[in-house]
Amino acid sequence: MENEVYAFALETALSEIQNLCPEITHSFIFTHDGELLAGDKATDRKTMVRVVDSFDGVLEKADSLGGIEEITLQGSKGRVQVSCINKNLYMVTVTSKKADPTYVNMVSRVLIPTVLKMLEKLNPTSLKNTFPQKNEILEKPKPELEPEPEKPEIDLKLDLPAEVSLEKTEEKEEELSPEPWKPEEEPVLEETEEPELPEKPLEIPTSQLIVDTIGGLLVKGDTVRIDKNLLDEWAELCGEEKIKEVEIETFTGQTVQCKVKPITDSKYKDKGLIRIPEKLRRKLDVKRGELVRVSPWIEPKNEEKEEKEKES
Amino acid sequence: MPRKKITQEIAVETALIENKTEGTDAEKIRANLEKIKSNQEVVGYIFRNTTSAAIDLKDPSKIIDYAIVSSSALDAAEKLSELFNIGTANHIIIQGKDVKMLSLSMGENKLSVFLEKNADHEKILKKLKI
Repeated sequence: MENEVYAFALETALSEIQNLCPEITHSFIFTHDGELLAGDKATDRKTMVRVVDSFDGVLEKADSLGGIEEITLQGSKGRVQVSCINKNLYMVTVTSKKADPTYVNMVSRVLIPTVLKMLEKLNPTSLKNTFPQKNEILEKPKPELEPEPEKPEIDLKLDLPAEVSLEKTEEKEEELSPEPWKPEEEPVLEETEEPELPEKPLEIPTSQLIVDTIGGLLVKGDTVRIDKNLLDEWAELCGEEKIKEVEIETFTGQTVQCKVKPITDSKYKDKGLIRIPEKLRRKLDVKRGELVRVSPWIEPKNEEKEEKEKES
Repeated sequence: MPRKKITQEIAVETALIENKTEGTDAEKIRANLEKIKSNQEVVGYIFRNTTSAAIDLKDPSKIIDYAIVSSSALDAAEKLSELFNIGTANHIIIQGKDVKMLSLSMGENKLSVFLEKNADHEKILKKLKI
C-alpha cells in the first residue's frame, strides 16, 4: 500500500512538473538497478524499459567516471536528460527544442528531490526497499504466536506510529520516529512479525495520505473524504463503531480537526487519497499531491483528559 | 547501351567523392583533436570510424572502461533519439563526478572526449565541429 502511495506521490509530482513546463514531453524515474519507480501518463512502460536498457552499459561503467551526475542528449528536435536525483534514483526528462533547460532543471531538480526527501522522512526504509513484494507477505496467514517481539511489523510504518497526543510539536515529531524504525534493524519481512499488533491496542493509527481537492455546491466545507476501508480499519483498531472526525497534520506543522466521510466516487477509491474541500486546503496551506498525516480523532476518556491537562 | 555506361561512371565517381569527404572529415577531426589535446581540461579522447581508431588517454589503465562507456553512450543516444523522436543526436554529455565525457557522431566518425569535471564542454564542442 505504502509503495503505491510513493509511486502515486511521485507520479503526481511528475505530472505537476509537466503542468509547469509543458515542454517536458516525457518524464519518469528509475532506480540504479534499472527498476522503474514512477512515470508520467504519456510514457508507456515499454518505452521506459527500453530507455533504461539502453543506459545499462553506461551505468555499469559509471564508476570509471566517478559515478554519474547527469546525462544530456541533445538532439536536433529536443533533448533527453537523465539526472541523478539521489544516490540510487535517476530521473529521465524529455523536452522539446523550445524548452528552457535552466527552467526545466530548476523545476525538476527541486520538485522531485523535495518529494523524495519528504517521503524518505516519512518512511526512510521504504525507498530503500523499493517495491518489495509486500502484498504477498501481508497475505500470508498469520502464524501462531512466536516470541520475536523485537522485530517491527512493516505495515506499522505508516499506519501505527505515535504514542502521542495529536497536537503537533517538533518534539513529538521526534517521538514519531520511534525505535521500531531503526535503519540498522532493517526489518526482514517475515510472518513472525505480526504478533506485535495486539500488544499496542491503544495506539492511535496514523496514515499518510495524498491531498486531493474536492469542490462543488453540495460539498461541506468542514468534511474531508477518506477511503472507507481505512476508516473501517481505524474504527476497528480504536474500538469505535465509526470514525466521525479526523485530525490532519501537514509537514509544516499545521493541524486541523474536521469531520470525515468515506469516499464515494469510485475513481478516487483505494488511491491513498484524502479529498479536502478547497477552503480547508487553503487553511492547511497544502497543495494537491502533497502528503499529510491523518489520524482518527477520538474523544479522550476522562482519565486521559486529566493526564493531558497535567502534562500541559 | 551508351546510357548504361554513363550511369556506371557517375556511380563510381560519387563513391570516390564520398570516400574523399569521409577521409577529409576524419583528418579534420584528428587535427582538431590534436589541437584540443593540449588543453589542460582534456583528459583524453577516443576516436573511431569504420576503418580506424585512435585513443589518447592520460591514464591508459582506463582505456577499456572509457571505450565501453563511450560506445554505450553513443548507442544509447541513437536509440533514445529514435524512441523519443528528438531528431538527429547532436551530442551526448555524461557528467560524472570525476570526469565529464562528451560524445558525438559525425557520419561514420564517432568521437568521445574526456574532460575534467568542471571543463567547459561547449568550448570543446565548438572546436570539434567541422
